[in-house]
Amino acid sequence: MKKALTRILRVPGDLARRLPLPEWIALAAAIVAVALGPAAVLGYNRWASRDVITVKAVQWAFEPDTITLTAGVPAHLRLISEDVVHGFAIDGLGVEVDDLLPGHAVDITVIPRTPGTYDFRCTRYCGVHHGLMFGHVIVRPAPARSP
Amino acid sequence: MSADRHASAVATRDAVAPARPAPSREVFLGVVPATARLELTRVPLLRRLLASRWTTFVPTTVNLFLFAVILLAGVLGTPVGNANIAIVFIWILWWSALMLLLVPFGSRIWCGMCPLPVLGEWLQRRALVRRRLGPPAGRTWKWPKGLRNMWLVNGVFLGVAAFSGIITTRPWATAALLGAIMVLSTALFLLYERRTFCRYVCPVGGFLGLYANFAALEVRPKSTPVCLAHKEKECILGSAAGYGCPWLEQPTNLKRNTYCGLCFECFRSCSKDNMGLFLRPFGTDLLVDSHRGPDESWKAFIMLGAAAVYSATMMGPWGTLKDWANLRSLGGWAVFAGGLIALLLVGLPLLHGFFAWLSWRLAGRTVPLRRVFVNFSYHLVPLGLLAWVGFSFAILLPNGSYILRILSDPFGWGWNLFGTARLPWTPVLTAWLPVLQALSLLFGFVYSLDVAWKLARQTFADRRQAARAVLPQIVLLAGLTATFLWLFVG
Repeated sequence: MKKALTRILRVPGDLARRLPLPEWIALAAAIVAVALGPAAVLGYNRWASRDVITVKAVQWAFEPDTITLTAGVPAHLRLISEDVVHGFAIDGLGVEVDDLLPGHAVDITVIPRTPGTYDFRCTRYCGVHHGLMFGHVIVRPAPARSP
Repeated sequence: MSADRHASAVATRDAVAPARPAPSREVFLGVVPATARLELTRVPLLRRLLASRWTTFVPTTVNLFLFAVILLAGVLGTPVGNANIAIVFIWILWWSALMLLLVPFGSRIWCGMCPLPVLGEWLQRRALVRRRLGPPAGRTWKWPKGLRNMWLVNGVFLGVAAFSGIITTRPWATAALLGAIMVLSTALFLLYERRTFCRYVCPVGGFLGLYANFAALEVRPKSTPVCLAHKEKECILGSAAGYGCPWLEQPTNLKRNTYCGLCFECFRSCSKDNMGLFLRPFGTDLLVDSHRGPDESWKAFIMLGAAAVYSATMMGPWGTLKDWANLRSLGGWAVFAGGLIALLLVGLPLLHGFFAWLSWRLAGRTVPLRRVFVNFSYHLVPLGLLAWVGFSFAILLPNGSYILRILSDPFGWGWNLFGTARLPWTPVLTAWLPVLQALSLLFGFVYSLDVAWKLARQTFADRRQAARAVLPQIVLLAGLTATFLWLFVG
């Protein structure tokens, strides 16, 4: 353990000799707590959401307001409200989520069949500019398969 | 003796004076003698555990990891407070645990595992776990004499309290506060000796210190004669096994819990195995008639007043007050902050001063008014702490279920680590909330009355004078209790 740590950290030989093993273990724990732990958190998030498109709803916009999908390919959307109760619907794709509660992520799967542009919008009155909360889903044709 | 010689003059002063326990004849609530003690360190396992250097390192490092996650969540997580670990863990879990359990039953045990100053302490010691001999890193300056009290702590706490509406609801604000404390503490650890930051600057440390005097746990020497005969004073100067008291206290002569951070360093440094961990009756240190001062009186006013203001702001029906605290408009916030500071710094002290003056008059002006004012301020501690207990019940019971959700999705990113992320918000035992709050207040009121009577007899030599002096204090405590009852259940 000590040898591995000193090699990884490139610690000078005399310091490596002076420090007892428990101190090295403590140092490893401290590094995990301060740096590796948070890095692992971010890494896990990246891995967990690798195939997920996150759509944030805030007064009075969606972020992103344009989503690009591929016809026939399932898309996983994670809907998150960051302030008040919003709703979410994609006209023409049969998607309707009644309540997006603040802090509650809602995961849905969409399989768009027909290429084209669809509108999505907030379906819960969420304040004075509720009517401006909309965006677009662009469904591109699936790439042609080579024979 | 292989001890470091960089001990502070503060630490060595009065080192050989015998410890002065609470008056031996006092009996709390007519049932529990003030001298009753149960030595927990008679259990060999606990004794070994406290003497181990890992006992401090492990919980502190776990908390440091949580702290790093909380900082991350404050910056990158959802801004929705109840879906972000920064708000749920700090202001629901930690705060409630502090007021309901850690302070009443564990004194300043939180300070022993607090992650905020730990980077500074590691840098200062140039070691993580082991006892490193030799001079510490940094400047090791001594804290200015004029600031060796709670006044600065009171000021910092008020500054934070003025922004409480923002800090307790916005994850970024919580992260900013904790980050600022960590940066400041690290800087001060490199400039000043030992745990100067924790003792004289930390905004949490101030009220922990005051309320620790009510706590049912203490670290004290097992035998004063052993300390007196032991000339090396390892607990102050340090030994090969442990550092000198990081809190600049004299463990040989501890009278009160105010500045004992339960780091258990004295358990390690003492070669005589003469330090013990004791259970004791609540409120014992409130009767110790030394080291009292107006700085601590004001701390008592500030904490009592803050409990009332937070109860009104967070649980009261006054929307305007919430808007002011939430910084909806700068003018409104200025009214809130100005009112808060005026009430806590001037209003409550004036009220207390009036009743102290009445006591002084009724008792025949036989002692200085200042002594009456300061001494009687300590009976506000039980009521103040129990008011915070009532307030914490109102935070924990309705909102505690968020903790389970947060464990699975700490950032509000849609994770579900343990399958609890979709748990619905579930208030627990809220039907009993008014009862629990009323009982807390009742206990605080009765205990405060008991302490007030003991303080009166301590302040006035004559029993009849004490009886007359305590009458206005009973009125004051009854009025304060009624106010809290109204705020909680009215």
